[in-house]
Amino acid sequence: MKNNNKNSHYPAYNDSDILCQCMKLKRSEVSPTLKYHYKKIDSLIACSGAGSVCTACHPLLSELMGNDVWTDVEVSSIKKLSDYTKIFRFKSKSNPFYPAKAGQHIIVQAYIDGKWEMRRYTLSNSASETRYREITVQREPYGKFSSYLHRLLNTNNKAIIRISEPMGDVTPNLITAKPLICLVAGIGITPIIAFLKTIDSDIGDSRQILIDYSVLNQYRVVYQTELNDIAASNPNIDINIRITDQSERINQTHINQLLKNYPNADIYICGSAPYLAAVSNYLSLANVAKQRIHIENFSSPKSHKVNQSKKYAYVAILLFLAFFAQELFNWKLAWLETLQNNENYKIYSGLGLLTYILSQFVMAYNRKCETPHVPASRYRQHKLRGAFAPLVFFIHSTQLGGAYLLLLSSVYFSNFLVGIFNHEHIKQAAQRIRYFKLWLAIHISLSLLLLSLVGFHIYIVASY
Amino acid sequence: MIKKIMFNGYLLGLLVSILTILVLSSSYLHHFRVAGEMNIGHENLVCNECHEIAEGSLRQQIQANISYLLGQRQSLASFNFKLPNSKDCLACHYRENDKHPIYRFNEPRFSEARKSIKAQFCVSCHKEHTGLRVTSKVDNCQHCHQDLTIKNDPIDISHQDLIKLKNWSSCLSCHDFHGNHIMQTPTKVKNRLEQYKIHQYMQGEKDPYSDKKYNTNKRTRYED
Repeated sequence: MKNNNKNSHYPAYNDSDILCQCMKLKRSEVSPTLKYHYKKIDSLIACSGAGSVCTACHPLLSELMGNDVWTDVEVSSIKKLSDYTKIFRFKSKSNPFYPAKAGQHIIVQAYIDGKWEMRRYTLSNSASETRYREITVQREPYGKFSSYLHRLLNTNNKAIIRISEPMGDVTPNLITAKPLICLVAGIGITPIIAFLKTIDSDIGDSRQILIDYSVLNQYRVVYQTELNDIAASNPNIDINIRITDQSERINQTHINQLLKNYPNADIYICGSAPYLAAVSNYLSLANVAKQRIHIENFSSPKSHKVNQSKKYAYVAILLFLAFFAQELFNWKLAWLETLQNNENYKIYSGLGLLTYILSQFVMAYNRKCETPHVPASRYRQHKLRGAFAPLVFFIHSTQLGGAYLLLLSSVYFSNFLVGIFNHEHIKQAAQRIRYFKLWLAIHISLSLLLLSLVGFHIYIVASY
Repeated sequence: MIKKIMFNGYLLGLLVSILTILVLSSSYLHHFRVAGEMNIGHENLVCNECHEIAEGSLRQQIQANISYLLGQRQSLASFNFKLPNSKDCLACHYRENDKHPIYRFNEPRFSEARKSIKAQFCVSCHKEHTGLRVTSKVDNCQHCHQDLTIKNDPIDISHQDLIKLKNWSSCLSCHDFHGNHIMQTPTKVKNRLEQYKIHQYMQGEKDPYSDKKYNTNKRTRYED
């Protein structure tokens, strides 16, 4: 499809596009209700049901009603903050922007692969900024939109992007003088940055603020210099960065200490769903009144990844049960038994099995060489391959064997089971990380044991 | 943190592996190093009584086997130890008056039997490392004795009738295959041994034919 960027003549939407993600309403399902000529967007929402949950599609509904909601923008600068995170500044192609409130978000629309895609991003520019709108985008392994933005190499690109007016009102209350504790994790730092920039330009603010910023590893820390500058220039702002793969995650003791140091403080939380759950839990245990807590959910849609992992586990368990059923009840296929008694078949299927086991060690190589970032697809491949372990074993031998072979097959299947019951099945963040530590050590040591037993097996078979 | 865990995992795995291999290589555990239990009567044999050291240096052995895998050689070469063959069995089990000596199956008229049950090899019926005595089927007689004719048949239901009924599983109830037992062959079919006793004998239980034998085996092949 040809894009006529210069004439600002944008490609049309498809009627089959989902307009409201929450209610799963297509454009073709919402537009007929327009015949009633609503004056207010609320009436359209009430009639069609679209936009009644998360409000993200309100600009689209407003647009349907004939309003001009989009500002055509061009990317005026791209700054790399870390391997995962980039800042994008959008400059209006027409009028300058109105000032936004700190912590507000915008809808960004981009024309990707012949289709309009849109996402919500929190503004990270200062509230009074009118020259540009700035967003901070973390690349998600499965994210279509964030990957698209990250692939924009320079500002002189032909990307078709337009943005909405700032919206949302989950912003830290700037009027009160009460101290503020900001508990943020990962990319949840962005509304805080916007907020701090606003404070920074507001001379004479003597409010006590603590930012507690948790981040997985040092490669993921964003805005390090900005945060340091702000903390250095304003004695009332304290910043604490937790790198959780080196030190502890935030826990009850930390929270209690913070509440003691900043009594009566308002608390603002922003981060992924597990982080929000953990921190809210600590706060409720510390008897903090709910009115003092402001939560912003900042998670990315990852549910399909977890589902995929579970899907593999179901396949794996099914194959495992099938293998044990045929072994236990002696349901043998005569042709396969004959084949498996053939010396050549034994050798080649054994080599195949060895190759299969070695292919799972690619994960170790990836972990070692692809720091800081092992692509999610590698984990997915590892899990997918792992799920077929009973089948691959079955092809080589339908029996578990006796003596040392029983030891070998037990180690093989134990490691397979350990692989299935990984930390992803544990919902609570604190327990998950504790489980993961133990799990990883066991999984790795069993893999090594398996490899040495396979070596022993090959030696024995070759010798006798 | 993750790197440390991974390092610990590898270290633990390495230690456990070394320990396991050391334990498995111990001379006390030689029966744990085989694919299955030793066959009946072989319980006290050690590996090298059947598995003899193979010819050639390690390099030659590896080279030959790789050539085979690449299709450059007709057969696998022995690595470390030779593959035991019927000669190794006969080193202890050779008998002058064997009723079914394996060499007889090499006669041209038994080509059918060679093809279907490989009767010319000991291991075709006595597969080792199975924990059993006989691993073949009970009705193997049918491969050679289809056209049996006997003058003055001594038993009450004639052999021909039994063959017509395809009652091949009854043969071993009166006859022991290698003929090493000193026993009276019954002349009435109803006096034959029960089928389950034969089956149990093949699985390794008590000898139902007779306690007395014409020949005894050597304890080991090196016995004079």
